[in-house]
Amino acid sequence: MAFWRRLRYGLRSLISPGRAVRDIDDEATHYLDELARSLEARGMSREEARRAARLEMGGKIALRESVRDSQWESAVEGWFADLRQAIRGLRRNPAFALTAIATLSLGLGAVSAIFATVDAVLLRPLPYPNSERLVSLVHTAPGINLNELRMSESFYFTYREESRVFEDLANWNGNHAVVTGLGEPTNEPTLYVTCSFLDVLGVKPAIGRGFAPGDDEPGKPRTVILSDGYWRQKFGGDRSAIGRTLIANGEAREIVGVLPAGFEFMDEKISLIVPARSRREEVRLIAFGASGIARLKPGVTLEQANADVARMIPLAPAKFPINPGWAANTFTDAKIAPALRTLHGDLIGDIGKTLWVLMAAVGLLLLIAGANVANLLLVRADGRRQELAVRAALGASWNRIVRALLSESLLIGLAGGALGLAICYLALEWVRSSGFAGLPRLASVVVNESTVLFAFATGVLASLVFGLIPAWRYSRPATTDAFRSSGRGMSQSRDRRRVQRSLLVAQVALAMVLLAGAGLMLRTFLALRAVDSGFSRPEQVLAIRVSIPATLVSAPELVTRIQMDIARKLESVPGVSAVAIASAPPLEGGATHPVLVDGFDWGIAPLRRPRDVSPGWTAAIGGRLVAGRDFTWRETTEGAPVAIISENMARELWSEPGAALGKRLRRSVNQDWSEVIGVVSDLRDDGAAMAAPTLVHWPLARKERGGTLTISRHLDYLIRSPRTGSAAFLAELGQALRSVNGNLPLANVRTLDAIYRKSMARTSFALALLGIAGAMALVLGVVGIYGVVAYSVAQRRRDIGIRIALGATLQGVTQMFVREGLAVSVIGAAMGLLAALAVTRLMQTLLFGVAPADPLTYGLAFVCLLAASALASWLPARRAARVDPAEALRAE
Amino acid sequence: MEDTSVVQGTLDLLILKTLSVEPRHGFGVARRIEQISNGVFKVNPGSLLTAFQRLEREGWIDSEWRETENSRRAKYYSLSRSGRKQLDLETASWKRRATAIERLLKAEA
Repeated sequence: MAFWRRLRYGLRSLISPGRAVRDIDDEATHYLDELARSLEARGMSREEARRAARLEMGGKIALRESVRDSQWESAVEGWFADLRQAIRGLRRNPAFALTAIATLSLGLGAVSAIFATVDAVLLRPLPYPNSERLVSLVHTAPGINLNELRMSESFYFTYREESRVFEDLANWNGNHAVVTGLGEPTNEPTLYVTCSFLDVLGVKPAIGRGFAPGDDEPGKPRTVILSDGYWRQKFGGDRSAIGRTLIANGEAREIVGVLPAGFEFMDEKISLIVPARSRREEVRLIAFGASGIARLKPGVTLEQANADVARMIPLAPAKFPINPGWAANTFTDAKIAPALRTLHGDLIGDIGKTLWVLMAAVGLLLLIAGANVANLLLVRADGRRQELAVRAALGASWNRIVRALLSESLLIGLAGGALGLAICYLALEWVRSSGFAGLPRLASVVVNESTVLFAFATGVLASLVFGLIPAWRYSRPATTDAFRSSGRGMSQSRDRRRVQRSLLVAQVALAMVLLAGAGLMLRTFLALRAVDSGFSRPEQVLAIRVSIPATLVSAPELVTRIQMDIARKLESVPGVSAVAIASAPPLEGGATHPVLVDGFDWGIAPLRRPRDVSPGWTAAIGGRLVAGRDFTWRETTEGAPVAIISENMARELWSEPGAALGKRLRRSVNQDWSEVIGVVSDLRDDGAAMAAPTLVHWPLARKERGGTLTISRHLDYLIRSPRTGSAAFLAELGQALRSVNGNLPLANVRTLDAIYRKSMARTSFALALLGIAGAMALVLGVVGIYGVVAYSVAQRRRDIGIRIALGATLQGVTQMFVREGLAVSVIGAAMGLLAALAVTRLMQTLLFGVAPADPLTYGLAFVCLLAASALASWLPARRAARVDPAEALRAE
Repeated sequence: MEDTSVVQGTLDLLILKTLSVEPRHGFGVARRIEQISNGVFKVNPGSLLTAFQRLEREGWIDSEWRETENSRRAKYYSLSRSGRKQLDLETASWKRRATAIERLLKAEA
């Protein structure tokens, strides 16, 4: 109660201070009158009585102030007064104010942007209830050299039936489905899931229902759930869409629900979610095509869950038969072990390391910016020495002066925070729209309340910390010294220069650290670019995915025919130099499978990267045929027993590419042998930083022992042409495609270069940010050195004049100042070098082809920094040399 | 010179007590305290006005600008209901302490 009264009264007097003052004055006047009257009544004369009364009351203003000072609002008013004065002070020195604010805002903008990213990507929990209990079901299989094995249906059923730690679990698989019957046929990103999927996440559809148990059983009506975006796009947000039918991959499905807006899952693009059908009795033991998620029971730790999974894995072989044609011991030999991770950890992967390195980098940048501002404040406080001395002489207390000085830096901090937020907003907009960062959860990286709070809090904190340096130096000015004016108080100015130089040394040292970091990233980037990736001119290769659903064309022979026709038609488009069909373009074919080789008796055959390709694959990506020959269209479409392997595999097995020709391979023991007819150059299929996997290329179709043809209906068409960028070209390709079959949608159009750049996104992102930070650090450092030398020149004009008058050469004078600037930067750079050696080790995981202590990088950064600071000190020093001795001496 | 300052910490009590009879303006309160105490206590105007502000914010007294008997405007203070409770509290507390001090002084004698 009393608190609110106090607040109300205080605010009232803050809002109309005039009234509050008048109130007190009126009361005091009345008091005075009454007192005088009572004295008069005791026999004093009117004049005497008034004087005595006034004497007793004390000064009116002092009385008013003593009454008002007892209230909280007067402290606030004091601050306001200080701030008002600070605003006036800054407006009188716009150059100083703008420089300080701009410098600080650059640092704050960078720090806030990275903070927003760290917050959104690393810190914020996933948007599901109790998301900390969600895990990804990941395994390892050291027996077959697999670090990461995801989920199988056999494990799904085993865990469902035996688990003690999971509340619920689900399998999911991201893929595409061709939707027909809603205008042009389209290829929509589709999640194939078990019915429990949404329940595990704890997500309820916004309208309609989720999947019911049994929706995934064969024989039940087929169902589908739409994403909010797809629903709005295709049904205009009409609720009557529920219950209607949608044709996906030729199958009619009833729309049972629509996901809530903003639903996200593992950064997958999702239009549709459909239940994946499976019959438990048909499940075989080994088929790890799916991913799994589970919700842990409350209180269960990841270790406990792993232990339970380890217990369950050996139960699977008793429940499910081994795949036909596989050795019975394959499962146990693979030594499958659990390696569960949190869903959040699975989504963000190891991006955390990159982000923390970047956070550290921008943190250093902020320190540099802060040191610059502190230097500016020092110069400014020095200019105000007389004013401060006058204030102190007039009785301003120590903390009033500190407050006055800090008010200015506080204002700079607030303005810097606001401007920094604007910079941060623009930077994030750009990162999000360009998508080049390759960050997980990128869509959620936005400026929100915590970013705003962070920017202002950091701005205020930084300004106070750096404002304290001059405040501490000048709050007790040596009054007499300051009054002597004209800045010849040598001791003071020397003192100030010492503080300024220490700041500068720190600044140069930090800049050195950032430059070294940026240099290492640049070297990494160049090393990655220099790697022979196995393809050439990727910007001229377009990849387009075309699916031929079974409902459109069912006979496998016909499908391969159509695929070949499409390739032929695409080839005839003007400007196209090569076309190939493949199960995946380079850098996108993640799976590996064991491949048996005739004459080698491994327990478990080593894993190879398989790729189904048409003739012309090597030509399309720009690789080389090392030995043998390419497939023919006939071999590829009829599933002939032939294969093409990569050079590294040939060398591994037969130590020479030519020797591989005529050798025999197969995928499993119940398949016929295929003959190696060609050897092609290696391909860095896992990214430039990873070793090239050994590849086996198979024909697009595969003939089984019974004579049936197994084909793939979802394939990528790689088209090499210098016209890849143009819209007209894309239209012509679409026409060529439709001339074969009007119902085929074109999907997922991208250039190989885009795929390549995406694979290097993290390096480019780190390079860009460290590069920007390093450049800014260099500029700020140079400006700082320039400032210090220029100031020193201005201070010592008389000294210079005397020297020149005594016959010092221009060169000598210039050198004297350049040496002064260089001394500071050499000390700073040397200290920075040591710091960089310690700090850059943390960057290890971001680097490729360069050691954290790379001498070349460090040497270049050192030389670069010294050259810049030599220039920065030479410019003002040259001015010193032009001092006219007569004029300089007369000025004193 | 005789010490006429108000015993530390009792100004609030004196003001509340004075206002418990009837509403008064500032000078009226000072006068009353002086008279009743036979001139032992003389109230400093600054402290008095500051105390009024404080007590008003605590909600113990209310204020109102009113005409005086000689038709001038003055700020009149009156005791509020919570002020009456506070007066009882402070009176009791003062009595307890005064008795204790008295006893101490006697014991020494």
